[in-house]
Amino acid sequence: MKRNFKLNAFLMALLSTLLFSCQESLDDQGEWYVPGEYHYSLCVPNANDEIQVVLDSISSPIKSIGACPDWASVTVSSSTQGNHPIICIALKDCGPGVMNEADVEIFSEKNDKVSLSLKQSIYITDNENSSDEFLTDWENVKYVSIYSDRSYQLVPTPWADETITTLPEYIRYDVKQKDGWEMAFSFLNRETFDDCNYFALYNRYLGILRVFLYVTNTTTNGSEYSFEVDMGSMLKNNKYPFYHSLAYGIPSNHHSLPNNVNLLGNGIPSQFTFKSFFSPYIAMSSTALSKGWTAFDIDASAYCPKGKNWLESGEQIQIACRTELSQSISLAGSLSANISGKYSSAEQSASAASGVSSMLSTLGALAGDVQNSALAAIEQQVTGNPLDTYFYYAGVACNVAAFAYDFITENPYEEHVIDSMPGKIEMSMTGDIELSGYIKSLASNGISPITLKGSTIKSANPNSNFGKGVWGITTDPVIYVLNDCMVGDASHLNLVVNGNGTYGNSDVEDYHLRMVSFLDPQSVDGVEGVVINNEIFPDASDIKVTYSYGVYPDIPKGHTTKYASLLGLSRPTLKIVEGTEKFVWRSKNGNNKMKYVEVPHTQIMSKKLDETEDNCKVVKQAGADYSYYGKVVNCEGKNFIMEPQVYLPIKKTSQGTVLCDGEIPDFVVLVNLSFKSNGRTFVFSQRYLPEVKMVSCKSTNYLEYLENCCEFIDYPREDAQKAQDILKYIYIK
Amino acid sequence: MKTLKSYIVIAVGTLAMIACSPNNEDIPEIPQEEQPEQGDVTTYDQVKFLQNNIVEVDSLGNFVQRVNGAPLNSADTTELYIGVADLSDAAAMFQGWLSPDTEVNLSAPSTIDMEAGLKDEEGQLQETVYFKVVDESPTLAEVTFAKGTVMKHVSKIIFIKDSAWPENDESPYMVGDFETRDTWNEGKHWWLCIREAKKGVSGMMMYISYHAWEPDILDGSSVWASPGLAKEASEILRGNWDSYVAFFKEADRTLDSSFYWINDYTYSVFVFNQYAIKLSSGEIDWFDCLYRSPRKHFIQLRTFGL
Repeated sequence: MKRNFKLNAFLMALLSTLLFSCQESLDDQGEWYVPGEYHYSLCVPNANDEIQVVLDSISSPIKSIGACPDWASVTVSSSTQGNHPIICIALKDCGPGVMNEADVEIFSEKNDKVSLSLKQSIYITDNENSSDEFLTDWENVKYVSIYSDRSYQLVPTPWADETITTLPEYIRYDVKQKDGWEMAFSFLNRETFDDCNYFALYNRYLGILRVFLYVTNTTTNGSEYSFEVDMGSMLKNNKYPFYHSLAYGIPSNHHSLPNNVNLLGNGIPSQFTFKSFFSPYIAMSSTALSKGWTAFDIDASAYCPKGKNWLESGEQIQIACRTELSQSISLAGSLSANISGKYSSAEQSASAASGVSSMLSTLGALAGDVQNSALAAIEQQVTGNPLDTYFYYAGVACNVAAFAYDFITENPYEEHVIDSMPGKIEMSMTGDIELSGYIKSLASNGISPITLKGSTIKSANPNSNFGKGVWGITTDPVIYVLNDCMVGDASHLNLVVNGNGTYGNSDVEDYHLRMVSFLDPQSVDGVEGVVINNEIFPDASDIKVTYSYGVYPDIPKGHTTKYASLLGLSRPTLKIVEGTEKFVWRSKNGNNKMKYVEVPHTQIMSKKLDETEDNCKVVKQAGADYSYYGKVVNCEGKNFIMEPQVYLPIKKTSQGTVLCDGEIPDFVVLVNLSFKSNGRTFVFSQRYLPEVKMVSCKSTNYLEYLENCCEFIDYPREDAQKAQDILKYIYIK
Repeated sequence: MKTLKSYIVIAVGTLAMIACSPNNEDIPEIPQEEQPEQGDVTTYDQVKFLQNNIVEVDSLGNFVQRVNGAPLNSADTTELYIGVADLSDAAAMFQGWLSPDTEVNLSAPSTIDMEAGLKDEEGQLQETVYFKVVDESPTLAEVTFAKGTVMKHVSKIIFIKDSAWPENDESPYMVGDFETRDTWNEGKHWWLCIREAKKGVSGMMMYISYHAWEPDILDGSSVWASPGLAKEASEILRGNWDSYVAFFKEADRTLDSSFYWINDYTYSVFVFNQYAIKLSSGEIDWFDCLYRSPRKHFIQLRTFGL
């Protein structure tokens, strides 16, 4: 009896344990949960720094973290992103010439396993392994020594006739000192690590850091490759040179920005504000990693205010070459699927980044005869002068120039011209590219990640101009929206005020109700508008600034939200009524705060933009309830509407059609700068995000705008004409 | 004998008086279980229904007002045009003009050509109407009639693309506008615009009565809304119900889920059923007004053009 009792008790205990164990594997929905295994591969800085990483593959708290190396301490953050845990990795500077690697295992409470592979980038403080001749007279050097596979090799330089490279000719020959190129750094010929064969040239006139890499290991797996670049996370107040390197430029009035904002969207677990993925210059044949020279550009053209010396700041850049393992989650596929649906290599390929090498260069190369090319036409339009013999062009992939090409020359883009921006990293534009799985799908490629410090650049070239920048704007552009006036096609209208920012009327779709918006030119081209580095261009003359603004209707709403939030740019709501619900708002009521003026949408046409009823149409904003009316142009394969008329949102609900308070769309301001210096003409362009301000149609600053917008520039400003037509009409009313 | 005849005359006369005075409270009571208070209207005069959705006519066939379609050719004002966005809009509009009991058949497979036989309330075929796709821009479709003599003031309806409409005039009234006009038995009051005039589609003004009325067959309530027009109005109101409730409230009128008198009824010696529409659903019911005295608000509808 006793024995049976003991046996029964044992069995009961065993059964209870089993049941309890089974219970632990049930998820919140009461279904059986199967733990997963996930791998994260990260390149981390070799610095005293801390980074945060979102473990987006798991959705339960972390239970345990395995042994960590002394240079990377992994802890759990108290924050989460959604239901994904965040880990903090405290990094330690391990000194120059050191590259550490480690694997850390992390387990979740649901027994998921995360294998975290960390590779610490190398930094080298000197360039002594490269010959003096290469450091000072590289363009005449035909062979250079590199270190690979435990031995030194002599390989042709990228500009040598018999070089091994996928670089197009106009890139590999464009290295001359007379054109502004300087040596930035060289890690060639260094025994310390295999495949750390980087060097870079910096163009002081264009603000481009062109990084070259000689790939020796061709046994890597993977399809497409890109360069993951972190432009520093140590300092908040010395990122100025890279203010043009993200999807949208940052004016220099933003002195301090947080370092840990993820602007790139899902799938990028580590939180770096100034992070970009760059695909290199490649020819059509292949996007895979192949032996020989490759190169990509980093835009460091943003003007750095006096007193802020990036080279002395201690900040650093980290560069890692990444290759994709799984084609189904390729970087390019994600980009094109989310943006333009197109991704192709073309003969005339341009660089990546947020568009350092511009459409202009592509157009120029295609056009051949520069004097008669589209470039000349754009130059003529911008400056009113014929093109000089030497024409330099750079800057962000030029939306305005592309558009200008379109309407000036009236030639549609060649298909391959538009698609000639392979790896044109526009992913940041949406801010919500789905790249889940990307980081975890990276293959090992044997190429060492590197860290670049100011001291390294100075040792290669004590007189380096890197970090000084070239040009920029000093304040956020301003777009005004009238907060007390809307326009439409009807003589009058009546709305039922529902009280929640919606208004009832069954025929509201026919009224074409729009807000009134316009750019303040003083905010871009005012006294402290555009700045040019007078150290680089002491004799800049014939300075012309042109600007406009528009929208990308096919890119889902909200693609500028993260940037606007980062920069603290306000996005107000245009309220038609501030008040209680269920009364009828009538436009004929003289006491309305919101005036209504009949201005049919087809009667507001911009001469400058060559708008006509035939080429304008109503276009719905993707992901939103509002539309635009205007002329759609093609800029780099994307639809763009300049100075659109913005409709108030309309929703169809189960209770009927309702009008909504106005939403500010994702306005983008395009700024073009041209000037002459030392006999050459320079053209730069950049996208910025505006500050949006509400203003009354009867306000003084609005009247001043009306008075000034035609007198401010010394040639007729037709670009203000469209806004003026509306504004004067409204003011008279 | 003479006395008997007199009694018969008196009796008949009394009965006649009773029949003509539905408001008289001395009507002899019939057990209520024998006479329903309310019922569904399931059969319509389908020609009349369609007629009043195109050109409303009075009992003598005289023109009252246009509802759908406008003549663009002064030489033939029976050919009416309507501007639509596309063919599906045209087809939907056509089907909306027909009474609920009209049977619609596809004329040919894999097309949207339709035809419907229009019957009277006894089920007798009166006319056949056709909807046919026409692939000659800007014409999208046409509505024609087999006999062509039954419908008044319309021989053909032509759907054309909106973009081809010749004029660009604006509707004189917008949704939510009020207009002061005479009403039936209640003097001048606000009528509410519930639909703007568009290309070939008349705008519509609506009045809800202030008082609740008991129908009287002799009192000229033929100016109340016709069933077809009332159904169209109901569809408009249901498209944005809450907004229209708020608009009517401004005029101190109540738009709700109750029934509203319209201009149709059935009448015989022992039957007087007045029709009413539930605007919140489009349902039309009849209500016994011979043995009962229901009181409801009525609606009037007036159309207008560009």
